[in-house]
Amino acid sequence: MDTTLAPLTVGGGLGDAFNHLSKNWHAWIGSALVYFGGVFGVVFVLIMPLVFVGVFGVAFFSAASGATQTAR
Amino acid sequence: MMLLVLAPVVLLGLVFWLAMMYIAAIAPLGMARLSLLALRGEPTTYWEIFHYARTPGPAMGLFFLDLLITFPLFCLGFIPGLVFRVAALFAPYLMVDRGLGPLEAIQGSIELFRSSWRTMLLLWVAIIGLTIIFSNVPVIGAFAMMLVQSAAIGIAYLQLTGQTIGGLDDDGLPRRAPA
Repeated sequence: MDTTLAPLTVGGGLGDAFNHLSKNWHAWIGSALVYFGGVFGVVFVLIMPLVFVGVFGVAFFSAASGATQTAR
Repeated sequence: MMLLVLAPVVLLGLVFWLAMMYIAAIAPLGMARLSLLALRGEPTTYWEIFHYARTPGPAMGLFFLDLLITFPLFCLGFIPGLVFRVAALFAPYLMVDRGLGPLEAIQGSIELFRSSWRTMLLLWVAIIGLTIIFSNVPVIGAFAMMLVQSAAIGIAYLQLTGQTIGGLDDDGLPRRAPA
């Protein structure tokens, strides 16, 4: 038999959320970890190094061309 | 020579931006799905948040419709924009739960919000306040609050639509919201 919930309140809503998560964390944590792992993995492992290589590459070539002009 | 280096960087930036937009569009629907399944005590998988990765159409529709409505409202002022953001919180839940389209879901969400707007605004302020406080706990603070936020909004959605919530009591019985 179902028991009845009290009407929605701020404290009740947050309390139920904490209560639910503390008892059912295993249902959430794997999915949330996959999400963060996926996003941060893509950003930091794949894309950021490439962006850094590009930025330093531009800086290097700018400096190199500047040096060439100074030498001339 | 510099252009040769710059072109891939610009291209990568574009790919990165598109990828982030794609994830920002599908994640709320996936999170709503995870939230509804977990709150009903149904089994979940690790890939729940990316559930809509292969069918991103409705998620993209909601993302752009949200932007289209939110941007002018934020131009009018902070309060109208914020109120709409809170009023539209249930839209992903309605899309997942009832299979509504983006526009219908936003309309339905506003209807639900209107039925207890004071509580929902206060709940949102409380969630933001707690998020600011818990963000000071390194790494896990903001992460945990994201889950609390999703669970709290999911619980509010189930309560406002008179549905059953599982996994709250020690006796394992689901609790039913007053319809």
